[in-house]
Amino acid sequence: MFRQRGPSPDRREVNYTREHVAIAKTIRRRRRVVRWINRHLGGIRALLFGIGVVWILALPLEALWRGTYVDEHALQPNQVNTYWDWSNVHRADRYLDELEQMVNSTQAERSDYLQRAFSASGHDASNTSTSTYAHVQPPRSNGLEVILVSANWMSRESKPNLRGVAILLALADFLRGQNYWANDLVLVVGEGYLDGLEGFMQEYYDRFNGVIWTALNVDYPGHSFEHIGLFYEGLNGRLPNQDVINSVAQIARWSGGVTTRMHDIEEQGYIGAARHLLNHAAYSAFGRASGAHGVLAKHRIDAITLYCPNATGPHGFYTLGKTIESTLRSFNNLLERLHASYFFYLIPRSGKFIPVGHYLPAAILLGASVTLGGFDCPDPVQGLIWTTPVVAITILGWVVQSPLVTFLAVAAPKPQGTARRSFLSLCHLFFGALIPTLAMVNFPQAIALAFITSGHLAPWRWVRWIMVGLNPALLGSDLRREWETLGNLTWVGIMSVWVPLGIVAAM
Amino acid sequence: MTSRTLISDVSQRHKLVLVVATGILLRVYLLFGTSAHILLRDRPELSTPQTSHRSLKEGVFQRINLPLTPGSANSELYVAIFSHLIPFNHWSWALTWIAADLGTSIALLSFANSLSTGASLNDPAIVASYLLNPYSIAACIAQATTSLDNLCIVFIAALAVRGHRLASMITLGLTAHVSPYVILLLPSFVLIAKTRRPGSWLSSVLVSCAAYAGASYALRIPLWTRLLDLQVNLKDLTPNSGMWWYFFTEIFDHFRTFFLCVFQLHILAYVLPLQIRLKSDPSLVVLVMLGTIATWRSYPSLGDLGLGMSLLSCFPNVVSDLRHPLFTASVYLYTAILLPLLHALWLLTGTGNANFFYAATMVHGLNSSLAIVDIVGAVFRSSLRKAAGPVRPGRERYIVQLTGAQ
Repeated sequence: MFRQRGPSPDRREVNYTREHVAIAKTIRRRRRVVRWINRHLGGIRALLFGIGVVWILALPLEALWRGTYVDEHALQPNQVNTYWDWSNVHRADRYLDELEQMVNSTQAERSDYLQRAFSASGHDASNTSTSTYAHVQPPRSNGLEVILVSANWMSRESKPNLRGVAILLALADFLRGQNYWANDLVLVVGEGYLDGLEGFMQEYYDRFNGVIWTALNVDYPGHSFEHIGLFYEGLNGRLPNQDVINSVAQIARWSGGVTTRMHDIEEQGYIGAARHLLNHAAYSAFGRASGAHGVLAKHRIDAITLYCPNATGPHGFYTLGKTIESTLRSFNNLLERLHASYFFYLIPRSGKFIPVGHYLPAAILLGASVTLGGFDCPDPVQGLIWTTPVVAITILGWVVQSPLVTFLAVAAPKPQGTARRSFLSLCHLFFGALIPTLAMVNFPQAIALAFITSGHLAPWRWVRWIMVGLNPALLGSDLRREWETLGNLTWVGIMSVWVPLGIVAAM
Repeated sequence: MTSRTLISDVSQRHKLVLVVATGILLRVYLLFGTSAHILLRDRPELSTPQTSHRSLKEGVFQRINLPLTPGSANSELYVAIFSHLIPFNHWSWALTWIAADLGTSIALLSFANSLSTGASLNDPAIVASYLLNPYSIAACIAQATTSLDNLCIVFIAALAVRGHRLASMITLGLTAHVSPYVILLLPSFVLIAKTRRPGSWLSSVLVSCAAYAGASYALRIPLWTRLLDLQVNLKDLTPNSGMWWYFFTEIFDHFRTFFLCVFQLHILAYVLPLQIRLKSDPSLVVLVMLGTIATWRSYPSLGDLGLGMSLLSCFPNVVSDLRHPLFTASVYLYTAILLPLLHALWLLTGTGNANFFYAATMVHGLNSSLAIVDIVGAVFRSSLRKAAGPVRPGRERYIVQLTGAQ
């Protein structure tokens, strides 16, 4: 029944039991595999990097895309009768005449005029230091939820957003007396391009009780338009719930009768999709908002900007008004925050999107190629000790608020031998961990970080020195200003990740 | 090629002073010079319902000013200490936590030195593994009572290893009031004390029980304390870095008792096999059990894990035989970034949900389990290495002589 127990084997003897042989074979196989991997580690890392790059280049291919759809059932786009008609267009035209007189007015004069116009429409109006607003209180609304509609004074073309403000005033007039709104509406005209609306949001909770779930921003500088451009990037790469974009696109198409484009680019094929994605990356990688709606993302408001670029085309106040009215009626149906559709997506073309599972592996592969370079650490304690000069120079850089401190590292002591290997391996592990984790929040910025990291930690000295030469100070001081005024975290990222990378590459 | 290293020619003693000074100055700066305390105080990874600093502060305030109110979820022993022995202001409390961390590192050093059987210990490394450990720094800045629990546990270990049997048993009885899972370490500590100072194990156990009962009597609370009830019955399902809370939000009520038993038995089941297999060295049982408790207890936090890691540094022969320490460390790095990020994505920005955070928690827990398996393997490998003696030059052990076979 029980195995016969013989005398205890001599442990120094080789091959003393069958199990010993089996385990010895396993150990030998494992050692051979690990040795193979270590010998070819550079090739494996290059392969992963290559597959990551190929994956990014494959993003504009249709195979990775899915069609968009409105996920939140409550939105019911296009299912409502709209009442915006030519008399409202006429009112908008009259407001436009008055606004055209005020192109060179001061902020106080503008605010005064707007408040009088809103009050004449029967709504409470007031102003903050950077914006003017009206509070529309429909009879059946209890004020607990609010929809925000904004039209800032400066358009993205650096001209006054006259028609945008005009349609906002006409909207205020149009909303009076309607009894099918369950939400309050707040109509805001902010000064400047982004700063006015941000200033309003900072004072919002002092003046209102309701919570804002959705918002629309109108940007209409020209005369007529042919199509509407939708901009959706928020600050720090935060995107609104995709339902906002999808429902606005649907509503504009079927209630307004006008087509929409993403970022105001419409092109076909691979190049067109690549241009869309690059345009999106140009905003997100720097954490910049593509419109005034972007400053609302920080306050957990899902919003987009409707941009009506100048054209000789057929559309004007009528189309835009119907679109806005029908969209606001859809937002009005919501009983809870938008949560059904995607928050993380890439849009290569109108009507198509790339879900997170189809684009995230690219960042993970790039991060893995960096992390795999970190498993050769003979002396972790020495490696950790050598991170002290890096941390010290980084803190100095933050104190003086300049990335040029990287060049101080040229004069710093340099590690040699096993200490250098350990130090570099720890750097690979640390920076390699940042790439996939950032990709979950802001994918374009993570890809930029991946390329910067791979360049700074490359095995070839000339690559490293080129990367050190491409100091982030070349990007100018805009990002620092945006951090101080709007809270754009890219500056913090540059000072706490790019600068240490430069120091490591210079050591 | 000679390796150019920083501060390699400084003596061990100076390095020790440097490490201690750095650890204390860092904590002093973070607690008094920045608002890091406010930022970290409520983080779910660092504070649990019974270790929460705010809850303790409220309990102490109630005890001082409103003596008849029921009090907070923290241990009554801590509430009593902080209401009667320590002045109620930010300075004294911060100094208490810094002193606790210093005490823990000194106790660790004493434990390691009494334990070592001739192998040269790297004293500064042991102290650095607690004082400069990011997990324990974070727990100290968050002023979670985990730092105080760690002090108590290492104090018991140091006392037991130095042969102060009665003192260590009394401390264990008192510690059971603040961290009930230390009861699982009772057999190991009894055995450690027995090897150093002969005495019956029954008397050790009885002394612990008497200390526990005595403290209950002095604090005027029942033997089944509110803390014990909270940890055993999992009354509070606040998210933390453990595996229990999400599971227990999902199950149906009529299965709750069954699953509670399964989860508690899971931890209990580790004690006996470890004691049997590692009979020769009960301090290793303490190491493995602390790691297990830190991962699988009902309300874990990162401070528990910090203690496990620093206890590992007291066993350099185990550390040198670990198979994948760098992999484990890098997964901990990933998890340390992902846990707060995904918690913010869930509750702050609202673009994720609880599953994201729990997935990061699961990666954290599974990585800890992997580390424990690695530690146990390293224990056996190092003991085999010691038993087999020195390697004969030119002949590797365990080579299979595949004469003729494939």
